[in-house]
Amino acid sequence: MMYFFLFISLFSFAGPPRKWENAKGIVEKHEFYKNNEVILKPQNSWQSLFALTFLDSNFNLSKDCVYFKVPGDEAGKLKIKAVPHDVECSSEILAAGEVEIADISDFSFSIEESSARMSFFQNKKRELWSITTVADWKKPQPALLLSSADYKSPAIIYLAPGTTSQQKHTGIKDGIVCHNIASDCQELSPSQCRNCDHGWMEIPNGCVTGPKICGDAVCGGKDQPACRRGIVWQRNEQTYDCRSNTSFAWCSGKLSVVCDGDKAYCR
Amino acid sequence: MLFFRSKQEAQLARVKPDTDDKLFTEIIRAAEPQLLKLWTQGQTFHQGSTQCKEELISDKKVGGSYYNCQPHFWQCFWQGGVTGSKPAIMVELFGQTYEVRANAVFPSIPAYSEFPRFYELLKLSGTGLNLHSGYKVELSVKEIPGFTQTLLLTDTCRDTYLPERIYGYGKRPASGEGFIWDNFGRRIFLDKFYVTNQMVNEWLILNNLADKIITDRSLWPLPASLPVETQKKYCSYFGKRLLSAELFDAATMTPTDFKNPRPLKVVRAQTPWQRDLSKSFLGVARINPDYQLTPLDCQLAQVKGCREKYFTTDSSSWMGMNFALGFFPESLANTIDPASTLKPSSRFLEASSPWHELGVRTSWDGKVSENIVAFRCYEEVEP
Repeated sequence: MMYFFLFISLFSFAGPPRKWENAKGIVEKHEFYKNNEVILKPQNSWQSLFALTFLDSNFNLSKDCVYFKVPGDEAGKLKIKAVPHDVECSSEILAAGEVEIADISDFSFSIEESSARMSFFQNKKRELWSITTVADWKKPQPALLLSSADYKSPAIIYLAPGTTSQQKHTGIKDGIVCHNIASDCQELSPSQCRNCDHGWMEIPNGCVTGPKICGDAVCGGKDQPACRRGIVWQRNEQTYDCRSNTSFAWCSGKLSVVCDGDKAYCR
Repeated sequence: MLFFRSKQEAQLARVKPDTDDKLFTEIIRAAEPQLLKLWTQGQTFHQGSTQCKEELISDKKVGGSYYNCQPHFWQCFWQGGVTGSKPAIMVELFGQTYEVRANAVFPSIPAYSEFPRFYELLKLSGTGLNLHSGYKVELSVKEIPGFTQTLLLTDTCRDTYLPERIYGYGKRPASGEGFIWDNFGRRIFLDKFYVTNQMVNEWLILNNLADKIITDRSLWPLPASLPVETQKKYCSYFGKRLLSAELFDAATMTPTDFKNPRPLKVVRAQTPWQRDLSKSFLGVARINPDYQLTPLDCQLAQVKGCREKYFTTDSSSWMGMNFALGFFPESLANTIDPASTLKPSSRFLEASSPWHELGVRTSWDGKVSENIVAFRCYEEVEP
């Protein structure tokens, strides 16, 4: 049965896979090939051309790698393989594809910011595949009456059809540092706080952006991080260091701001 | 001359896709504005009555905002229960009219009805989507059978942004500036309305506690009455927190100078619509025991003697939050004055009550009592 489907995919196709209609982005473009250049070299080699990303029905970011075997001893071959979004296409270049189209000649492709095109002949018939990514969403500037949903994502999120991964989602547990900021205010690693199970809390350290931990703990309580009061209300430009000026934080009731290194806590 | 072509002509000029799957996708994309309008502005479709008692009960006490981003309205519409509306989105494209429909493919929620659902509420934490929840729906096009499109609708109606500026906390201080703070560099979004029984029902169902939901549909638009610890749990589940006192004050005390987010003096307004309470109907009512409430007074602050109404937007504050004074007592987290966790101003108090003033709070034991203590959440989002 499996060979039957392989046969079908090898010798008959009707344009690009439907899930590409919901492509979110185009990544991993081939380093050297120029747009619309007919690919003739290096002969007999597999090349990873680009990849399309999309959200599957289970909200996982998926990726389709597009490979091409450059004509040489035999005609060219186009191969499409789905891989997890964090796997490089180049590492799967020799694996079998879900779709493989043989007998290809005059193959060229082009990539623009939000579209891709592939042009080729197969069985003397010209094929032109064009893919446009779902309208590019740009994060809006925060403004009066803007909602958090509009700030964080497009109002409608399209999910690619026919794709359901079984990967389970697990948010980051409470208490885990999700955004690491050094005492000199440098970001040590990109924030993961969007994946916190129950939101996050900043531990004020006098920086414009302080370190953050996942969880729904309330600031200002005994042995809890202090609450962020800001570094503008004082109305004088200065550097805030927990040991010399704790006005950027506050604590509940009669508790005092104490410093644990550069971070403000309440005791 | 291209500039002067009508929209319809321009659409006709576009090349109709030669495959059904591409045509289907184009129709779905073209339906997007109408789809969003149906989802986010349900109130504009809800002109008359509804005939889906398991989802909605039309009630003049309930304002139109209740129907916006409202899954029960979505369900009712697609079930054909909205009077005067055909359950379809008509799309004109390539000189033809196509009928886009939602599909009832999601499991029924027996606590609501046996009918399969046209949506599924999902908890999304950990998906990397930067959303804590969303409504999954499936669409099809009548004229192109065999294709479906799944998508996620987000709740864009729930909260509103608190602009970055210097804010004051509490009543007008006798001297000095009192407690001031700022939210520069922060993205804080506050619920516009109270959390309702309907919203808590959704939360219970997500947590497999459908047997605990409130089934009386007439109570669904009302503020939920929960102990404070449960209020916090509700907010936390959606990555939010119980609204705090300093945020409430920031959202309701109208700044004197919108253009200057760093004022040298932070003024504490006593009401959202008049800086001095004495000039408002609440101030007049304090000195005139015979004061007669007007309909406008009740729109601004629903106090004792006003007609009961929910989901009104007439009391909207300067940044879009409703119910600053009057309406229901409201639970607030308070780390500055831990004992002051209740906004007492409410529809249970006469207009002359001294509790009707911004920044005035009292204590609450956090337990459910006869009078509803409403609550709402806020969310801080990373810039």
